[in-house]
Amino acid sequence: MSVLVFSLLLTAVAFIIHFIIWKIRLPVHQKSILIYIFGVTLIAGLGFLFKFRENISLLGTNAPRELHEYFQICIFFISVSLAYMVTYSALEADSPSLVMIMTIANSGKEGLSQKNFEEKINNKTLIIPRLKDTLSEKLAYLKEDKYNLTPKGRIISTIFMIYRKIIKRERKGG
Amino acid sequence: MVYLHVLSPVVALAINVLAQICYCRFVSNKQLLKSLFFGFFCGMFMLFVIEAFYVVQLLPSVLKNIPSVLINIASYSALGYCYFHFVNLGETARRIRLLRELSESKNGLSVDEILQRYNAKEIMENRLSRLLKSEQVVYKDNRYYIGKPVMFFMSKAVLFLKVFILGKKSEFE
Repeated sequence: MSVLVFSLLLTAVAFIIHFIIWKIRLPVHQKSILIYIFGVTLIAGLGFLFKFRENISLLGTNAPRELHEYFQICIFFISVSLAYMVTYSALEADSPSLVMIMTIANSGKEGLSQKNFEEKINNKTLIIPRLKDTLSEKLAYLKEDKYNLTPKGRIISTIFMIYRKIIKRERKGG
Repeated sequence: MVYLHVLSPVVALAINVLAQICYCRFVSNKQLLKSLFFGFFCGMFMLFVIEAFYVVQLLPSVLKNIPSVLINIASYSALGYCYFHFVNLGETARRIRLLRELSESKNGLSVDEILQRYNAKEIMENRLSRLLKSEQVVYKDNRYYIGKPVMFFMSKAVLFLKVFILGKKSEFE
């Protein structure tokens, strides 16, 4: 029971810190700050629990005593944090499918023509912001007005290309 | 045994990945979503096998160990979700596609060259065909309408989360 209670507590603490900071001011480097919050909460939280394990009790449950229990809390916390971070990345940028669905929904009973669609959804809204992201995230750099991959960008593209080769997906995706 | 129990979400994730890859290579590489579900359930099965061994070993205190098993199920589900997202990134993410286009060019690409290879028209066609095929959008009298409401409700949920967490509805606000 102690693993369940203290895993949930630690995760809740990280989320509360995250929401408080976000409500005060949206950070510029959101993902880095998120990693920092979750990382520090995990290390400090586990350290605190371990040091005061004899004296801490919550909802009638004592703090974990065994090392493997701390390891289990760690795996739970990292799994949930990673799942939240990938969801967060999807929230940051507007998904084209979401934009398309909401554009159609907002047109109501009239429906939406192809022309209206193209006016609202174009390269300026779908491609250019993501190209700028590749620069800000240091995945690419500009040289004589041409985009080139940085080593980080090359590693990421290679991982996806190898994976897609393994699962035999020939279509380029996107 | 106790460390196998602790590591069971990671072991189950490995089985998930292996099963999903095998499905794509030996059954069908066109049913990506099915392969992901197949992989996820294979991993979950492995998790239950490990947990069953662990619980049986500790028969006198089964109830005491149920919360620990629940934590592992939650951990595996979160890891499975991350893997689903990774596969989905390769399939639909614009950034990954742009990186791929850049990696295939020797001397880099200008904006115009990128747009010739990958543009909003292609993105819209890909997504519209998926939405029309799944009947989330219907095309009637040269106009598009919302069909089945699943994607519409999902979009509303995502918008709610965006407003709740980021305080804005769109990245352009």
